[in-house]
Amino acid sequence: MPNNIDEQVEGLRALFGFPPDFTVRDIKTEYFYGKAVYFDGLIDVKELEESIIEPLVRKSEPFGDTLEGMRGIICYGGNLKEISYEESKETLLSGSAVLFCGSAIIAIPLIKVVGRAVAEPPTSSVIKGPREGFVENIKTNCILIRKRIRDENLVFKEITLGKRTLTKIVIAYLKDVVEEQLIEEIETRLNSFEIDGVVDSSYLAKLLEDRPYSLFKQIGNSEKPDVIATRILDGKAVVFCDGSPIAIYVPFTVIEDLEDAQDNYKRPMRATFLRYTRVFAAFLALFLPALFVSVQVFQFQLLPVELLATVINSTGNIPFSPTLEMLIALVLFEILGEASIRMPRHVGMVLGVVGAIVLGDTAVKAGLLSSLTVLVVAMSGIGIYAVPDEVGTLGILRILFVVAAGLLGLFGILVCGMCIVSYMSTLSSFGVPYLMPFAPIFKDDLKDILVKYNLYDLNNRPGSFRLTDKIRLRRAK
Amino acid sequence: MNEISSKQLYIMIFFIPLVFKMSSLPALFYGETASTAFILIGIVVFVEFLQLALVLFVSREGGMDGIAEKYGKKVYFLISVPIMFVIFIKMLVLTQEIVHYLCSFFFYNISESAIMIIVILVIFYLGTRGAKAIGRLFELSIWFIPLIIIFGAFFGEIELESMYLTPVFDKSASTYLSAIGKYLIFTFDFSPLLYFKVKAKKVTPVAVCALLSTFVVMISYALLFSSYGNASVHASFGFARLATFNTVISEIGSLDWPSVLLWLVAGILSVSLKVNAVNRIFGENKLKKFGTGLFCLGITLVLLLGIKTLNKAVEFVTNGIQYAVFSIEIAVPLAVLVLFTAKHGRREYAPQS
Repeated sequence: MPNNIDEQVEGLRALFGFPPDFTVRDIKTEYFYGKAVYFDGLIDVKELEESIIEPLVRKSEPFGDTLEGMRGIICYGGNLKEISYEESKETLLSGSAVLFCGSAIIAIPLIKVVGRAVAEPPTSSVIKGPREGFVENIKTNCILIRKRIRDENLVFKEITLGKRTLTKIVIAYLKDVVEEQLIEEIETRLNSFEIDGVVDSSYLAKLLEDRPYSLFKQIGNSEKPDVIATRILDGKAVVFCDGSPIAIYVPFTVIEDLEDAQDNYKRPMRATFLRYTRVFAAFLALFLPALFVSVQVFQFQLLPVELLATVINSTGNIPFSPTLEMLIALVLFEILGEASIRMPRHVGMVLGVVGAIVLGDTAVKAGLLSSLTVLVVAMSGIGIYAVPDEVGTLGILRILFVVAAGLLGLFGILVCGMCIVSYMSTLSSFGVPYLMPFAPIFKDDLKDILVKYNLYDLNNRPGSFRLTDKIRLRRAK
Repeated sequence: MNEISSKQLYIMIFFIPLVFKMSSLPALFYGETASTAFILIGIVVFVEFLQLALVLFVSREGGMDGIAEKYGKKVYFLISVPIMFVIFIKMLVLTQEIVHYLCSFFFYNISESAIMIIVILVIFYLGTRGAKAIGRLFELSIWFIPLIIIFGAFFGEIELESMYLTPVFDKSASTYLSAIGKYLIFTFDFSPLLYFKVKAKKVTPVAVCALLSTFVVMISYALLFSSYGNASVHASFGFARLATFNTVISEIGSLDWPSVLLWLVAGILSVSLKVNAVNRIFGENKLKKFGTGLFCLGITLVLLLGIKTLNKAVEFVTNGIQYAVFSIEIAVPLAVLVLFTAKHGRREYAPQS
């Protein structure tokens, strides 16, 4: 370690390769000599000047050039810390200013928060319920949770991940509810990788999953603080990643994607009805194209005569086999979806209209696709968005089912379904079976899934995973 | 670990004796014993649960894994060979049932050989997934039942004639005994559970599921016979026929699909359970899937080259071999139980703590 302040600062500058934003602010008075070092743009310089430098410069009496000596002089409310010279590099990068005095090196966290304001997330709009969404700043996200759960047992455990990005990761949980082993397991899994960078929470999801190559996601996520707060209260552990507006949580079961944040804010009957509607929509999205192919190729006896006649009239002159026709329609639908997301907003809107009406209508009139196929794909396409978190998975699965139906009809769908479900039944998320509470059956958890119960009757937290405190609601005596 | 939960066991206890008694057996049984068949089948199912009791006793002692631990791999394999033989013979007829059922209800003019290969592949895949996967699939399949009930309640048109269920026991006892003996192959299917670690602590739910299963089999047979009368002898695949009651609803098509699907799922799972037992017999080494694969290949070859139709399969398993299969099904759990008792030796009284 260099001996004097100047050598220390220059050594640090050299360590970073003399970058242009490496700023050194000399502080020289009768009683104090020091240098404040920071990266320009990364910290709040005004705050540094007003809270640290000005009080030091104005001081007209001698004082010690240590952290203790400066307390009572500087008017900074943050958490000041003495650090070693070796730590100063990392401190600078994490958005702090470093004050080199004669006897000490002091870290001053002054990161400038630049980012968007808290707003409703575009992917989870609600009619009824809180409209706040997470942002890219991890501190804001933690505050949004702290605002909702004012419990001393709410723990925010911070770790740093990414050799080059030094990304802040926060694990949030209720320490008197969650078993410590779950948190240890999360940390073990995250620390078992030496990754160079983590720029989004999806990176963490991939590191945390039991089977990263699976088609099915095993980690839950949400952009909404109220949803995440509910998950924390359920006894799950939430992981925030600095720079990502999406929080992830574990353990996760597939049924959670069929639930909606608004279910808790609606009347139980209405919530139940909508839940079944979503399940029906998901089934429609998944199986309708395959069933349509199946009844055309093999199981035409499934249809009543009038409906069969309509199908035959519609599909009779199409030059492709039913399977190929359906696959073409589905792939076209996927292409339209991808293109409209990536195109500039106004062009995207036009493309959506062109794709849906003009292309579909023209394809039917040209005799390339049957009107029923277009209708089936459209219905499936609408249905898939009833479960927005599973769009990717359902999109692939429905193509798989169409191929199975084209080869073996209903039997193909059944076989494909059995194999997929048997695969799903072997998946787990941090030890919790993926199909819980249906397989294995867990009676207590079923009551909030088959029928949305009133909060009044949900006395216990979900029992699918181990918790130290299972009681959610107790009636006052 | 081939462990299943108690709930999974209860569901299996309900389904296993039910599935293959609802396919071609009602017609075959009616052919031999006429309307008395619905009572006889109840007795058969009830007796079948005695085998389950034996199997559960063995499971409580640690199952076949316990034998491997106490007597070594050689004894384990020696006991398992007859079980593999039983599974092989049973799979010949049960797989053929599934294939025949599929080709009758799902396809027209399709090669049964192609379907056979696919069915065996599916059974092999599921069988090698492990006990948990099969158990969980059984759990999921019970959701078909409310669907069938709802569809049946809304759209079923039932025309029953109770007179078709009489007379009962109008033939000699030997006729009934010989009918039971002839179709023994469709019964006593619990031996694969020997290879599972079962977490059944309570007897009551096991008894309730067993009684429920017996009751459902008897009621289904009674409904089928009172709906079809003497034509029941031609009503193969009773379960599907029972579901539709000959009704075709013009608005939404024929309604037997939920029942057809449930039977098929339960049928495939029941056979997968047997394959899973074979997979366990081949041990924990890397070659076990290869061994199970060879076993399934053997069944496929016999079915493709030898026993090509369901009729031939039924003929093959009702020609005397069913007695050997039945004997093994009973003798093996008994023998295993004796082995466990022998190893326990004389029990010492522990001082009261």
